[in-house]
Amino acid sequence: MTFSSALSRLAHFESLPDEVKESLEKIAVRRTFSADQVIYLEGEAADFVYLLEKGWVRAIRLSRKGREQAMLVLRAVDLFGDIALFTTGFYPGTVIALEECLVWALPSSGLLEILDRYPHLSQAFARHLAFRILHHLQLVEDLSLHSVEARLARTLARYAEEREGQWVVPRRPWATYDAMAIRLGTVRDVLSRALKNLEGKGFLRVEKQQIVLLQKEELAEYEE
Amino acid sequence: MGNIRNNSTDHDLHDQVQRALAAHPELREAEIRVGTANGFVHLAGKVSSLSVYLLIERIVKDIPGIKSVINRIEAPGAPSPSRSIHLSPQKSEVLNPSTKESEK
Repeated sequence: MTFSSALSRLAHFESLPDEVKESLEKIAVRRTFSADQVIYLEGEAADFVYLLEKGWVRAIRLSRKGREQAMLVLRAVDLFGDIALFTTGFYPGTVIALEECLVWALPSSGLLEILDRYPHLSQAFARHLAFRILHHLQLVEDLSLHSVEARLARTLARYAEEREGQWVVPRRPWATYDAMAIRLGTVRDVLSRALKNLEGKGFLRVEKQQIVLLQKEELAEYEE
Repeated sequence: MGNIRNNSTDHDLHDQVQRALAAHPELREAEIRVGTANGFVHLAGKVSSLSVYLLIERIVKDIPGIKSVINRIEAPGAPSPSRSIHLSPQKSEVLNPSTKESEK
């Protein structure tokens, strides 16, 4: 896949004029990361913005007390590293590849020059970042207002995929109980109990390779 | 989100880490990436052996003013760079291969 075709699959960037896409393609560098590799570190100088063409990554951040919190789990095609470009110039979290990933690295300095020339591109970034703010508002709401059970229910509904007439959340190799617990701001035992409770109430069925959501709409609005 | 590198402390720490690593002849060839935020030092990169991995950790740990070192450097026998980090609030520690899962 070329850089332009990957960019064309990214919401808010798909309809950019060809001239803009070509300018970006000239500075883009293709890179691969294997599972568990660090793409960038929290507090590292933000030299690149990344377009994720293939794979999944997770963004984590360490609290001032040294506790890890998952900020985002992103799947291709998506953009990351852009917050730092418009703020402090240092990445606000660590991003790690969850599986083999193909990314396009856009040097920050070159990207800023292109942004100066093309207002369409600035608007696309503004929209992208605005939706990222909504995501973080949702995360704040989840962590502060909802129980672990409700957070789990809503997260499962959010990540569900329709397969053969049913809503499922596939169990990916990296989606361990520990990783899921961090995402939900809890620990493995509490998460395990919450999952059993939801299964016991008939909202879902846990299978070896997937979680089948029997009442997806109710899970999306679940409150204890 | 909290403030990232908005104070001179993190900036100074970053410089000190870079200088300390550069001062070691054994590490001249190593490509080590450094991030500093809120007093924590984050490390990534790839080295050829566990002894180099531990050497880097020791060097960074000895720099005054560092809360803790999050070592995500790749090395044979080293813990996974993607492991979860949960530091004890009371401890200023360095995570190394001997750190038990329950302590993270």
